[in-house]
Amino acid sequence: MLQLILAIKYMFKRRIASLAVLTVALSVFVTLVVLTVMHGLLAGWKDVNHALVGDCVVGTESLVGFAYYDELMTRLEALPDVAAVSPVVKTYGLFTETSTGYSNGIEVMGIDPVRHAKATEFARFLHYRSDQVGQVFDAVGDANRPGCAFGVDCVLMRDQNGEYPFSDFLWPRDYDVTCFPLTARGVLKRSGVGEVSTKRFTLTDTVHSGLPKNDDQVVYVALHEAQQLSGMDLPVPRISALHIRFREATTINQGTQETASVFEAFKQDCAGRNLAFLLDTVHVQDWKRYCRAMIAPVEKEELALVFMFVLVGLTTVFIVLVIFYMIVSHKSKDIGTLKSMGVSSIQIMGLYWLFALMIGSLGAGLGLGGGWLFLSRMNGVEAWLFEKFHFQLFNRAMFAIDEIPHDIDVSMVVLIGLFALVSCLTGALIPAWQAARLQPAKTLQVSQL
Amino acid sequence: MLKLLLWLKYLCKRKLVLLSIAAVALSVALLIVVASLFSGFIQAYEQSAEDLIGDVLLQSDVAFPHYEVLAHKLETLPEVEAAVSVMLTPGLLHVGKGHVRYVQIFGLDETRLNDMPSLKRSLVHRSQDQNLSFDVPDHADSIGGFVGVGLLTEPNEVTDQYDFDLANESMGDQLALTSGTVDHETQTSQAVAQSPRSRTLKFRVSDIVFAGHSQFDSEAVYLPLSPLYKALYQTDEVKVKRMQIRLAEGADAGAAIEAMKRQWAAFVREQKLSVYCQFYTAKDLQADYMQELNKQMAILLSVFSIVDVGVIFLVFCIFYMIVHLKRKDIGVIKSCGCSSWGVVSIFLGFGMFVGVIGSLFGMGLGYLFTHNINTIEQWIAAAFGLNLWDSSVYLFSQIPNRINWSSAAQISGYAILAASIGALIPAILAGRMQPVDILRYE
Amino acid sequence: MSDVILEARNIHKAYRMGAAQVSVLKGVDLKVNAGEFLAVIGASGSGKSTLLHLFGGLDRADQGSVLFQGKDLTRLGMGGLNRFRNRDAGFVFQFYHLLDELNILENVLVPVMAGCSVGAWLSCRAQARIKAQDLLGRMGLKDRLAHKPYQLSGGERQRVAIARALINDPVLLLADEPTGNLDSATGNSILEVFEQLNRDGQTIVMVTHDARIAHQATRTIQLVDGKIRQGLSEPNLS
Repeated sequence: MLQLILAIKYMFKRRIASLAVLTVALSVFVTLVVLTVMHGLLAGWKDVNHALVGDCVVGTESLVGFAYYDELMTRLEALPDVAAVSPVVKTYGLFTETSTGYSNGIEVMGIDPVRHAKATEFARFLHYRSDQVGQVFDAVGDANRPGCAFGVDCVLMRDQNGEYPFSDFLWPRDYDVTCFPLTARGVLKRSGVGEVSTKRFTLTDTVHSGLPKNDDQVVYVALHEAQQLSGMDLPVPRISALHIRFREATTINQGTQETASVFEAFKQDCAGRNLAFLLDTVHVQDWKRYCRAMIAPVEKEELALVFMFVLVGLTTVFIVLVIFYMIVSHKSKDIGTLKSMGVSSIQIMGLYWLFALMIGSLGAGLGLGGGWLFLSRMNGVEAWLFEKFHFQLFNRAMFAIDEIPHDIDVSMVVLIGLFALVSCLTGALIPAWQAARLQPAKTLQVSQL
Repeated sequence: MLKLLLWLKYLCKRKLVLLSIAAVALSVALLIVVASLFSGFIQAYEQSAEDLIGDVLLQSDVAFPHYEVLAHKLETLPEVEAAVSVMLTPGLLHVGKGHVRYVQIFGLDETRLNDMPSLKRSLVHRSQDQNLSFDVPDHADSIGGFVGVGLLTEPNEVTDQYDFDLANESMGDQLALTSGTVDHETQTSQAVAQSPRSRTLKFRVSDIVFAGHSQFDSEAVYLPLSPLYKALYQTDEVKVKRMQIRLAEGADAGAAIEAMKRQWAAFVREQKLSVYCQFYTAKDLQADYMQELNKQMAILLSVFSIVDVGVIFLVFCIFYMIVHLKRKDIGVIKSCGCSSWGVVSIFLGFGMFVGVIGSLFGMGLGYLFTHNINTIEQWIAAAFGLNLWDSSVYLFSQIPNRINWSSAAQISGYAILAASIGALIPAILAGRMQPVDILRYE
Repeated sequence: MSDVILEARNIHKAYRMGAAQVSVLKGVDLKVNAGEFLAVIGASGSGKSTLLHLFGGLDRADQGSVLFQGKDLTRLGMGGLNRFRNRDAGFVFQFYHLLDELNILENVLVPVMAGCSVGAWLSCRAQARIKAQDLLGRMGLKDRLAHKPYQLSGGERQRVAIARALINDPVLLLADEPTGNLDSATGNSILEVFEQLNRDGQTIVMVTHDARIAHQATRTIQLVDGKIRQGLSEPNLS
């Protein structure tokens, strides 16, 4: 009881305690705000990669692709853990805008939009037809002309506020897409003539994912069109990859392992068939591994941030230690007096730990509250800064975000709060132990006063 | 003398002083680590841009002939170390039966390979060659080429390391490269919609490129410019649109560009060409991104500086306590004739002293932490089971671990200032103490 | 013949002062009877406070034993010593040693709170407060319950310290120069409190360097060079 009363008194009567609270609150505030924003940015980045790719990819880097995919799809779809499978052709070519003659290199993705929207979150990134993904390649007017969906940066330029000038209606624009058709062995079809496959498409939608590599270098067309362009249509149809989504209850690891074993069995069963050799370059990868070139730097950055906050934590521990050390050395007389009245060493230690717990709780509470308040107002503040001073915390053209992430992750709050408490208790550990060890006879000697 | 003596005595006798030094050191170390990590990332971006395009890039709207003449002209300038003509085009690399990969083909002026140090550094076999060439031993008639390691082998699924033994087996192998040519690409700047024609070129692998940069390692093929151009465009007159220029050590990029523009004007006049060109520095091309990164660093540093405010408070408290505990000393010193200012300067100087020592330790700590950050990263990764990518990652295979000394010096300066500010009020309080009040018993 | 409640048998105590070993007590034998008011006098550094600390279980003797009601304090564990200090002995110090953060009433209640858990405290709180108020009333501080120690005079602070020492009804009251920090009038009033307590049956051991003050006790002994000087351990007649 005495510990509780004294801890409360120390808390409110000693100015230095408010310093400790302030330090903890500041550290917690900084940690919560920076981690929420950065974690939001990084998680958003990962999420978009995941959303574009699905949970798992069975695919090859080779532009020849692989055959017998419909059989593999049937086997995979029969798995209880697989929710959807989407065949995809991925190849490279050249696009030319027919009205201006402007041309550039492009990555061509051939998809079955309905299947692809089930296996990935492709529909979410469409601007005009995200609700009718089945009609994404249906051209208005000319029903025979195939449609295409370009990455938004290929066809639109951001304005000075970082916004795309979308109109209500997408004016039809035609593009010629040219690819090198390859045989299953990897040589050019009709290579003796030096011809390439070219087809004219009408722009029917735009894809805005927020990933620069996707938004300025990719055009989506119907699967069979891409197969024709890349020579994957005949004699045995081929694709580059199967994108798979697992059911909610299935973990990515579990699903990927299952997919890998189905693929291995499929590969063995195909041995001896004409185009079985194409399966040699096929890999089964979960989305993280598949997107590693995009995710790895982000993970490094996340790790670097963790380092920084470990240091912030250490500094907090240290400041709490110093403050407690000061309190203990200032209070050695009181400790002696208490001990002369029968207060045990453990009770003294408990007193200081309780005090530390209070400082930690109050500091963490203030820091978390302040952090929450700041985060909830941050976008408003940034908008005001942009309006008045044209200052943006995150340049929208670079980061492709609509607003600064400010959704607080409850588990992060709990973790930061706990970390603050542990930091305080750790910081108070040595001084509390020192206090407990103080000899009353020595501290009460007149010469020590 | 008295001041120095007291500083030393306080320093040695009071654990609190050591703690305040440690507090200053920790906060200095924290800020140094943040600044170093960020400037390391920024430098890595800058370096990657320079590796890709050299210090300055000359880019014309239309391909032009006689590039050797221009290169010689540019190299006569004292600011220019080397000018290498480069052709960049996408293509398909036939790696094996049924295995075709998308690649970026770099056609390089074969006489100037030694002037591309970053490429030379990333070669697996020929990085130490005096006279770097594309030649393939035992195949004098063949065209040689450098191929990214990621095109010859895949990184291990677990360790993410390339199997170099497997890649080396492809040394000397003949590969087929296909690319398309569109006439307007070389002839005119006016776009004329034409279907590209496919062209195929066979070459042999003369070395493997491992730059630790996935974009190059898994997509780049380097070939000699003339045979590449001849194969693609079926002509002997080689033209380029792009020249990578390396500046002399210490040359000013702005002045160099001005001089190069004059040389270009002379070249165009002499050759009777009607071509327009622009010069970009690597920094220009990345300027927006760099500015953004620098802004992020400034924001993060100011956020972390809040921790420094805590340190000011801490030093204030510690000094306040020392002054309180040393009241008797102050009384005695004053009774011996020391002035109030003298007492103030003892404590103020001591605060500065704490700041200096703390900063020095902080610099050391920051250096140790930053320098070993990749080892620490591995520990953390092992402890938390994080998935770390190694060879095949984009841009960074390691966290930058070089200390940014100018930031370190600045941060230390602030820390010394902070410690002095923290000591100021207690020092003034000490100076204002009256010996008679202090020495009177109760 | 009164019962002996406290007995020192050949106790020795030495302290390290830098490299040197300073012997403070060099074989002290002493008995304190129940209901006695014993004054220990001696010059500065003679070992009086050390003797008091050993009697109160604040320190341990290097040699010899201290018996309280027949129990050897030197053999008690930390828990036993804590209980002894909390229940059986009450301390009054020269510099009062009140806790600045607590008010007068709370200061007096400290030993009660120290000796019980939260649950026990909640059940005995009302009773303890009444007792503390009563004690403070007896000390003439009824109107100062909510004051902080620094708002009181030296004499008042020492009365609070005495009330605190008595709150758990200790058998033994140990006072270390209780008037050493007070003017003579205030000091006398404190001594009157001690005399009154002693008349009510409280055993008191008081350390002082002032023979005049020691004269108020029922018996006085003198410590010289760490030993009791023979011939002065007689009961005071006045």
